[in-house]
Amino acid sequence: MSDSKLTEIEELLVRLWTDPTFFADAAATGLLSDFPDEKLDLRGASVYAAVLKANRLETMKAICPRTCKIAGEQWERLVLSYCKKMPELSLNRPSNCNHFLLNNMAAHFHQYFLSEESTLASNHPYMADLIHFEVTEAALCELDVEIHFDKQPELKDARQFSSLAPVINPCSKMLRYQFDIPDILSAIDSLADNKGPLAFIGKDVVLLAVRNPSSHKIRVIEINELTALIVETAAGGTRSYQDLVALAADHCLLPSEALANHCFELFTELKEQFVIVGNHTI
Amino acid sequence: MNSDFLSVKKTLPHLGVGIGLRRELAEEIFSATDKIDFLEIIPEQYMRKGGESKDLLQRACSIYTAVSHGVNLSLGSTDSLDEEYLRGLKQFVTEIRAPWFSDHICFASLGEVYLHELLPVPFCKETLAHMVARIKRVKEYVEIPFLVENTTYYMKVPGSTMSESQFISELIEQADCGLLLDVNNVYVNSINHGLDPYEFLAQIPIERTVQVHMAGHKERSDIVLDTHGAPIAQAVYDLLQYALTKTIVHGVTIERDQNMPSFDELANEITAIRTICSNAPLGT
Repeated sequence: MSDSKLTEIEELLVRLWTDPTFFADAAATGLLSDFPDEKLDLRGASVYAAVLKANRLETMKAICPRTCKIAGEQWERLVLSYCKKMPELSLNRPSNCNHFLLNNMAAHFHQYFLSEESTLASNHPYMADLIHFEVTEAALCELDVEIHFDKQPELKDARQFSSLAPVINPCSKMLRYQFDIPDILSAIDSLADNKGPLAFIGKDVVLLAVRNPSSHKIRVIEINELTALIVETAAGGTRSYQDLVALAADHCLLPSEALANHCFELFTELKEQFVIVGNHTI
Repeated sequence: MNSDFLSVKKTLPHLGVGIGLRRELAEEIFSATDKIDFLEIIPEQYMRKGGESKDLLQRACSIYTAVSHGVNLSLGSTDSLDEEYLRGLKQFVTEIRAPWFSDHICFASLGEVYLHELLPVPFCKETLAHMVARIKRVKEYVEIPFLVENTTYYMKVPGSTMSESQFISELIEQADCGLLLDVNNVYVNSINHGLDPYEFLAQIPIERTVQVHMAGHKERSDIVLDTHGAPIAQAVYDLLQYALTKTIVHGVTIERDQNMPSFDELANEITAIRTICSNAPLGT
């Protein structure tokens, strides 16, 4: 037996354990193709089939608990269909889900849902946004990035705008959705397990998911387009507060002093929410 | 057979009785320094992770000596060894200052997709040669002593031509690595496959054992499952006692992953293991 034969055996076993049709055929004959002389150990094969299925369902539920709750009876079919499709989805992709870390198992779940689950998507139009959020939240929780939460130098007033630049929390992610995901999360959390589907009216929202540097909890903040632009610009490279105020001036009609005050309040708020985690001196 | 590993074993620290770090019990584990000697940590739960995982790992390693026990080396797979994983693993064992690390005799991936389960390999010469080469590569890369663990197998894998004990013996001797002897797995396999567990222990090079795993199992009417979800059975304690008459081990750990009991229940199991170890004729 060569390595290629070993590969064949492992492929055969994984197919036996994960493909119910193949399992049923093998169980009916009591044999595995290529091994006509060896009786199939049905009892043992059933154990591995059950364990692999349970692992997939539990792992995906741990990553997407609210999607699981909403999908209800469809959850098992949804997850197992996704897992069946996973090898080709992850091929040659940098954020592949064929990864040794469990949470990466859901890396292409959103993409799969958009392309393959039109019926479920039409019954639950918000589900694509929900899946995206849950996968993003799980990834952000474990992101291996040091957050240097520097209190100095501190932005105390608008006179420092030109000498300081904000540091944006590297464990934050801007999310643009067609449904109000924070409202939907609350509604799902308070929904009894046996209730029917929830209905929501679409609403475009811009959210910032931010990991608290101390508690590591993820907080979701709804922001407006101007704040989104300011945060995205600041995250893109070192830009002074003055540059960001100038950017804001291009998008609103406030007089300069009022704009400076408004921006100062915004920067203070972003700092309190751990979106800004420090300042560079320019 | 010539063995560098047996010389290396003599230099390894004696860690005592420990437990696998589990988040559900982390606070109690961190407070129980009078009961627990060391921790076993699953690298996949902490490596390349920030946030809460990183905090937990740093706290664990500031209190206890820790060893690494992996689940995704996939030694039996014909996928190429995952270089990213190996780099991460080496960094992990360095960070936690592990005196040794371990993984399982199994495959855990296929076609470059991780299956997140310890799956059985055919016990035959070809698998043996394949796994020996991979273990040597892993040993060479990670550069600290490496142990492989005997796993449970619930079905006879097509293509198998050797017994489990023959396979394990040749594997660890040819690869010149250590053994992480899971005595619960020995017991579970003995029931499921109608073998004598004591004979199994007599057939393997038990002197290569550095660490022992203790765990609970579930007895169904048709099969026994290695669940890590029940108290350790007396038959498993008996096997530990027997194993310790045959070799010196450098650490014994409890694995508990399901049906988490109160910490007191685990502490009682630690005490029971400690009593067996302290009475071991060869010492621990």
